[in-house]
Amino acid sequence: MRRLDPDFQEAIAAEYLLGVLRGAARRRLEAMRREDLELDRVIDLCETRFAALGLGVPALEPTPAFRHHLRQKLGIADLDRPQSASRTRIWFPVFAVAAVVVLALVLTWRALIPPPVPRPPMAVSLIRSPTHRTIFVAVVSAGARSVLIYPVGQPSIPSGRTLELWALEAAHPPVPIGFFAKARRGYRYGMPRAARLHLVGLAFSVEPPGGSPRPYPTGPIIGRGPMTLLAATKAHPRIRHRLS
Amino acid sequence: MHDDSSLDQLLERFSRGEAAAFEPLYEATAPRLLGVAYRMLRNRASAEEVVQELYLKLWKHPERFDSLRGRAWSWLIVITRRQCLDLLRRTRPETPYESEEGLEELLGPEDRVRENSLLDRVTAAEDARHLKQCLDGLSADHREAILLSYWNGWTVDETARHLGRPLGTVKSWIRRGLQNLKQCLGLKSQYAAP
Repeated sequence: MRRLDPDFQEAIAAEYLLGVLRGAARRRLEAMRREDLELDRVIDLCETRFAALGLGVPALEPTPAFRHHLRQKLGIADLDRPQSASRTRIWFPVFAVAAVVVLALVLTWRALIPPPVPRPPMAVSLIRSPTHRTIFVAVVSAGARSVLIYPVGQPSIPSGRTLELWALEAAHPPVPIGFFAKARRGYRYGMPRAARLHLVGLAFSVEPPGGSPRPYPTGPIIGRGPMTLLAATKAHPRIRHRLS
Repeated sequence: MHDDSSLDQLLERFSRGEAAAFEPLYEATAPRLLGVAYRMLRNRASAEEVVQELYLKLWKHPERFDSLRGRAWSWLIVITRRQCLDLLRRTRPETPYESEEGLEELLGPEDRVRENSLLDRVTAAEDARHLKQCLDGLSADHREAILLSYWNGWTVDETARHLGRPLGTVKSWIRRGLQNLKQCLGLKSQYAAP
């Protein structure tokens, strides 16, 4: 086994961590890492030290439901609900009867009412700048599983910044969809599940590299547009096939 | 924010199975770890999934923490980032490398390290503010290339595609960025000037 120069190990570890080391070189380094404990330690150390970047990331407050669910997973009793077990025993018969009634109602309803349309129709959006110039055209697939974005002209992206696409919902915070890279003629994004049901529009914001550090746009909105629904049945079959 | 030593103690108590340590550990770490995971995954549900998995690992496999005592925050962030990268790689198609290059090329004389270790200096600058100051001092291109690579776990090919720039250019940006980062941290050039 060839051993790397100790000093060089550290430089190569940083390049490995940042994806500069590629292809066969990367695979070979990974093989060497498995056999060379010192190299493995240096790479771990490099990763650990770059983790200081994470200390600068804004915190995201967890929801009470998340903590409760985590406690359940860990098997730790929830301090907020110390009497939950005994309460469950008391209320179980009531819940059981209620569940049976609800189930009967649902089955009756489903037997009488035809099923709803399973997917929302295809939609388009013209994303316009604050000066009302159309800068992107968006086509959202039937079912809202994906969105195709086409720039109109060359989008202006400030140096050192990135454009982040957001799904806008009527009564919910915006949901990040992805980034628009330079020199792309068009791009298809998967639509986050959370954004599929209540999508009312799309927007682009200017964000730092890697995107907004918050769960909402932090930079200026350079364009936004409402969704315009199209009848799914009127779309050309080939277009529907491509988008769905 | 808890410092590493107090966090060490909480982690140790928690990993010994002391349920009472959960609440203070959670209060001290969950918001920041969720922030890191969200930064990478851009999705709250996925971020919560990753952080939940981290606590489960701590609870069930405490031995994994033993070797990194004294670096509790860094270690937690590293594990969070790795789990995020795993999730990203599972959910996005594998991007093949566009070309290959041998290790020999990377071990060329122009890349030899002649000076003190970059990592030693980064250790001294573990204060996130110092590192951030140094990053802020990089040119926008260099900083963007480094941060995109780090936070997304991208290869240089993926970063180049995202930026719409040639592979060699972006590779050079990252290397020069590392070089300048090192200079900011008080060292001489680690890489030969291109």
